[in-house]
Amino acid sequence: MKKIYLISSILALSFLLMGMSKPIERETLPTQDAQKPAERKNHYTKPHAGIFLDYQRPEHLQIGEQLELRLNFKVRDQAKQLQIKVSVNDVLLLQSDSQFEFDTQTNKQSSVVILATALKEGAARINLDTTILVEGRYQSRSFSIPVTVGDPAQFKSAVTGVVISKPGYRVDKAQGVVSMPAVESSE
Amino acid sequence: MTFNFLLKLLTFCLFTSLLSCGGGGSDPVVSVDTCTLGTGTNLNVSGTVKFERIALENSGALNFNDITSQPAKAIQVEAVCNSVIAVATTDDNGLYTVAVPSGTQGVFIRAKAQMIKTGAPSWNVEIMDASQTSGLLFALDSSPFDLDGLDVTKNLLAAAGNVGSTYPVGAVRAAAPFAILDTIYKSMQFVLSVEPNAIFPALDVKWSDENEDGSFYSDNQIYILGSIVDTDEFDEHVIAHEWGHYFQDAFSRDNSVGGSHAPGDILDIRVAFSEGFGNAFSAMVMNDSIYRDSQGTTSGFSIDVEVNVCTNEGWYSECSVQSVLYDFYDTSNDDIFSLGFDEIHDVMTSNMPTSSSLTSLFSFINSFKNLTSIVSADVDSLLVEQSIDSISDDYATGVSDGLYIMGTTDVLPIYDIRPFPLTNVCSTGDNISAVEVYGLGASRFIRFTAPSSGNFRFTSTWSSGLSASDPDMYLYRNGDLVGSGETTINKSETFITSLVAGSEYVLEVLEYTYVHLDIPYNPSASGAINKTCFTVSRTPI
Repeated sequence: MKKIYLISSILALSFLLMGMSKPIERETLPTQDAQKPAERKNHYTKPHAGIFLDYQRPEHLQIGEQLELRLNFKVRDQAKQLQIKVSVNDVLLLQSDSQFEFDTQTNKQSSVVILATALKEGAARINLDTTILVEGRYQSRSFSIPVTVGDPAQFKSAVTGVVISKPGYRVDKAQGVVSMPAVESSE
Repeated sequence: MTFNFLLKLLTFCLFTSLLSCGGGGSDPVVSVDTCTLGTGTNLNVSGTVKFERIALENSGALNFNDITSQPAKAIQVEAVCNSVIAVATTDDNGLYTVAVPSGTQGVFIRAKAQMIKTGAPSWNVEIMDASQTSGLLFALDSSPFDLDGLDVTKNLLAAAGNVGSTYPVGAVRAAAPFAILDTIYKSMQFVLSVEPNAIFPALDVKWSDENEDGSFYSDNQIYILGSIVDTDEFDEHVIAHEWGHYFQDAFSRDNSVGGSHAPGDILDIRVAFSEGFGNAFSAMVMNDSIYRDSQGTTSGFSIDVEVNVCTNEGWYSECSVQSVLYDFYDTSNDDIFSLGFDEIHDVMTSNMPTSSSLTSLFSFINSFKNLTSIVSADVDSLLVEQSIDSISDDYATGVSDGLYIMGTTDVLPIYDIRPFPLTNVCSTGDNISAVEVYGLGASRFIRFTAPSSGNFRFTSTWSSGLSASDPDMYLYRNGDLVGSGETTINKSETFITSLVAGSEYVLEVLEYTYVHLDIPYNPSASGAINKTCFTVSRTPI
């Protein structure tokens, strides 16, 4: 009887833990998809270069699946040139070009298609370092596009925004701190 | 194996699993208290707390060849032996001293990413882990050590976490929270230079090495980017800019609706002032007119707030606002002002918060010109350089649209004073070149004095423009929001609120669709192309 109780407890706790590990979906889709909030929230952001990105991404990929992502850029009127550098983390293999350049003197909208293959489960990132030339000065803006590869319940995901502890960080809940190791000296 | 043992094992497994329930990739860390408190006389444990700062190049890019150790000023330091047994605050050199009984074994020093001061002045600033849902404070820990009859020196350094010019995956970037605190400390000291007893409201700052949701201020919190795609912990102008928003919110008033903004944008008057002030303020705090923002590990972005040539200059330009404010402040000889922060602070804290208008360059300049130390003509001469007419009241009465290329009637008058009901109150999306940009003319303002006290219904009814229209309304009294209608009902909006007879109000009317959907950017000299108009009424009930 005790064994049955124990096995049942383990199973129940396993399901409980799986549930607790389930990622919380953060709003990472383009804001066009967002619902209108109940009331206006003011976010005072830092200035950025006049580069704007629009895309529709798949939320999930399976290992081996190819990602085809169309990125639509728009730049300010004054921008003469748009440069785009693409990089991915180790969850993906980038198969398209990693650098693009557009003359934006007349056409303010540019598109590129990113091709990548999912290599392993994890939180994939497509990172974009974009730069425009405005009145002789370069202005840049970074973007990061998240895509989940595999079952998000099976791995810690940066997409989830939920990390209780990770290597190098020590969680001391009693003191309410996340501590990091100091480089020490006594002189 | 007994049942009780198995149950304990299960409980332990559950506990450790809970600690790492973010997923299987993390290392569970269980706090183990092994410290024994001594019974001898107190000994001094002292030293410095420092952090590594990576400098920025003129372009704004991180310069990994220029890394210095800097003191962590005014932060909380604790001696921890199972619990906190002594507390100190670092001085401006990062020095601390705490007393620990001789014979203590296993004590460690913890430097918290927190600045607390009570009395006057006072502050409480915490750097929290943005990746945590439970609000945990960052701290820097020494390794445990023993005290046996002698004082001990323990110097702690928070490392930047870079290897060469990159951040390896999984690197602990311990310097970040302390670098952010350092810039906030500079910002507070800057304000204290003109208001020595300032009481700074408590401020939480959220950062993590995964945070990629932007650097922004909202609701008494500052978020700072940490993802390696764009790290901002060493971008002092960015941090001071966001702290400037906190300052305006806490010590002045900010009616800005925030949102995305870039140099050259033609912005809502509230946004233009708030962001221009943030840029100018960051340059003042840093005593460096070059606003720098690193992007990733190789590139950056910079703005020289001292440069007076602005794309799309005017009262709707954050560039023009920052140019004028910084010229009032700085000592360079390109203008006749060298005022420092005193007068700007006076206007921001005394005059602007009491105006019945919304916060803008108009309310700032009008109050600024009324200071006894200011010559109005000198102010006007600076404004002319930005194609801004002389400002004589908070409501921009008589001010033209300067070099604005679009149809004048789409943005002027800034405050409509026609009697209710008002026809053709038109919101335009032509100055909104991306989602979440509050461009000029998207919100239109109606100024009125309440005819009597009591409840009134405000209604906005579509008359032309977008067939799928979503009008919103916001009512302000002395800058405070006192009523709003934000439903999604097509072509109509209404709300009821109480008015006070004789009080001044400003009603904002906005086509929500323009701000929150991407539409073609297509400014035209012949007038707004994207325009939706309403009839706005006010009815006593």
